[in-house]
Amino acid sequence: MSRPLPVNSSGFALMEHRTRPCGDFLSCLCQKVPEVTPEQVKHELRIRVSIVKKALQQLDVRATLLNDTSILQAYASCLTPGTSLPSFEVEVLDEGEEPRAERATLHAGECEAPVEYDGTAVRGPASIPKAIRHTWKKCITGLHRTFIYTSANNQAHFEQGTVRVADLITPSAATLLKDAVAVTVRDEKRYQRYYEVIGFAPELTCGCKKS
Amino acid sequence: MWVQEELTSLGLPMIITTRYQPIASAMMIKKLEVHLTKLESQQLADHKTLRITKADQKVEAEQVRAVIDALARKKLTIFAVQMVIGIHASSLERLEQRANYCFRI
Repeated sequence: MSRPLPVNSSGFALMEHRTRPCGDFLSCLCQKVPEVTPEQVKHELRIRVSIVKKALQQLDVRATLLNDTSILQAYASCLTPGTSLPSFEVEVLDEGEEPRAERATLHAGECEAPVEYDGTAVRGPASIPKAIRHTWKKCITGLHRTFIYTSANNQAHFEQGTVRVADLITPSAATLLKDAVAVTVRDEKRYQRYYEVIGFAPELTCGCKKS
Repeated sequence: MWVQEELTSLGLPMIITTRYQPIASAMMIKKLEVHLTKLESQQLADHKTLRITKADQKVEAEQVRAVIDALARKKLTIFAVQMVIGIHASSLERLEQRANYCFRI
């Protein structure tokens, strides 16, 4: 016994899809999925951001994109709520200068920035006088430790490929306990517990507040 | 939204994450049509056996029909909503207290 066919427009679309011959279906399966490039993803993201921004503007809500340091802080605050976060600001060190004493263990030279740059001034002990390559020593403090690296420019901003983002925002330790997670950042330990809302009260409709 | 308001009014340190995922209207219409058929079959069966159909079933059928219509006319989009609540504290005892307080209310 056949069920009555839907009469609305989307219903027709469904019906059309159902009556498609099997050959078409198989050919659809065999078709190669086109490769999506990072540029395409970024373009799509830009479009989505623009749509959301416009929608927010209609609600008189002002929204702005976060910069690198703010994004890192946002990520870190999700992983380690309640702990004091570093600023994630890149600091350009002067010649012979060491990072401030309050910073964590240093791991110098782990992250090299092999970018060539022809400048005039020679700064920092990491520079190579022979090749006239000028490098600057920089440091950035992550959640667990401070990273020191050399860079070919003296601008104090986050550079891709120098320090991994995951290393910056990873806490010192995370232990799974019964019904909780213990997250340690340096010497500070905090406990987290998560709940997922799986159902809402049926008598409440959207926007209604319990009296 | 009212859940978030209730939770934030407690003044406890917590993270509330709400995720909205749009559901394809075509798929939703299909599901709702199946559900509507069930409801209508029940009504028909009740009518044949001289049983009184529950009032809420009649209302539900009307609501489902209205939703299908709105979806088909692209006047409505249905979202899958996922909400995760994270509570944190400096000790396990304090975490327990906060969780109990939060979910008792």
